[in-house]
Amino acid sequence: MKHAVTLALFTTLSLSVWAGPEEDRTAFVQFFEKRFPSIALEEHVNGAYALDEDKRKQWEALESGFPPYEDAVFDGEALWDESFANGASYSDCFGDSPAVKQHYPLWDAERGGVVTLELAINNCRESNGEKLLDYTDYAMVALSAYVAFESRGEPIAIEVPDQAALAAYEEGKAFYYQRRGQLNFACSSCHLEMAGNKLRSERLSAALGHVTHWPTYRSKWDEVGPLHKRFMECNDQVKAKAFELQSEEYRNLEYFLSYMSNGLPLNGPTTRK
Amino acid sequence: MTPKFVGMAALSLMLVSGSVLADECSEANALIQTARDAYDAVDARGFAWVPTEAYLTEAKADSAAGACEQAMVNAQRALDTAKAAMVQAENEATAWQSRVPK
Ligand code: HEC
Repeated sequence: MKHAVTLALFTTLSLSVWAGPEEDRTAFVQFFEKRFPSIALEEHVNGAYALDEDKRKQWEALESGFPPYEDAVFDGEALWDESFANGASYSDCFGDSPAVKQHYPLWDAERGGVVTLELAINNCRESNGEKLLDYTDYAMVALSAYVAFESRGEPIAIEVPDQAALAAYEEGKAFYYQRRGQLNFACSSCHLEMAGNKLRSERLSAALGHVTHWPTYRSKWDEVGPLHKRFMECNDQVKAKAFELQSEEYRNLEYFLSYMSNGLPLNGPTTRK
Repeated sequence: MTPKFVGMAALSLMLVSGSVLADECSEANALIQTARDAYDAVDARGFAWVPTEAYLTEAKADSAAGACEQAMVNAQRALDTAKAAMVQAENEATAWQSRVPK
């Protein structure tokens, strides 16, 4: 009897690790299935262009020529193949194939934190005695553009392996649904509740698929830029003080948001307005 | 009067008027400090608003220019927005849960 109780307790504990994020994801996906019954789930990796026919045509024209992220991918490949001063290179940290983006962000139990691809690149440099790259640095953007390109088509495969990882996931989840800023909006206000609606001249994209295509060329930025830069802009437009690129807040947010898109194919880099 | 003495007199006049100005805005400066503390508290919770910082910057510039009344106005705006942001932070400690799709 005592054993049965312990066993039952043990099962609920381990269930809470696994079932939480998976239950969240199922409900999240169902939300968009109901909201957009005529749009295939995978289409949401194209953001607002999945929901707006006219904008999609303009976008396809831009993507079909020489897309403006090509240089970044090309330069990123050269950087990836270079050796560090100690003779090692990125493949010593990431393995022979650069197609690894689907696993990021991941939970690093040793460091006790969420590691995004960009942070992993810097961790690799640090452990090989190279100086860290700034997260706005072109070299960082190019390296991550190359990895994104090589990872195209891979289904996102984020894991929440233990309680500490779950705590970080929960932080990111709370952040996503919390209202912030003087305008009092949550991320979910625009990208769940109002997804598909127009906000000024823009069509609000679904949160599902938000992480699949970074870094991305944006005409507004006139350059390829990282996901966290988009987070900053979305915070700023509701007059909430933004966090820094690769801050703990944004890494946890990316962790949660990436888990929600588990199974969707990567399609970065791409272009956005 | 020696030039040196004139210089000294001018200097002390400047110092006196400087401290008078500072005294004049002491009420505003205290309010600026109160607003700053409220802003730091809400920032530490991750819920700072952009306008608060702008009001603080303006209030400090007003005070430095001796525009004490305007400094009071902006410091009060900073404090009001910081307090409203704290109300938001407190609500959102739990209110977000109702928005998660079930
Ligand atoms: C006031 C509405 C609003 C809020 C709140 C908001 N966003 Fe956005 N967001 C937009 C608009 C407008 C765009 C550009 C059009 C689009 O793709 O939806 C956008 C775009 C994005 C994109 C890029 C989508 C793509 O396909 O490339 C991401 C990612 C994103 N937002 C994440 C967030 C996150 C995370 C939050 C919360 C921190 C947030 N947004 C809050 C309005 C908002």
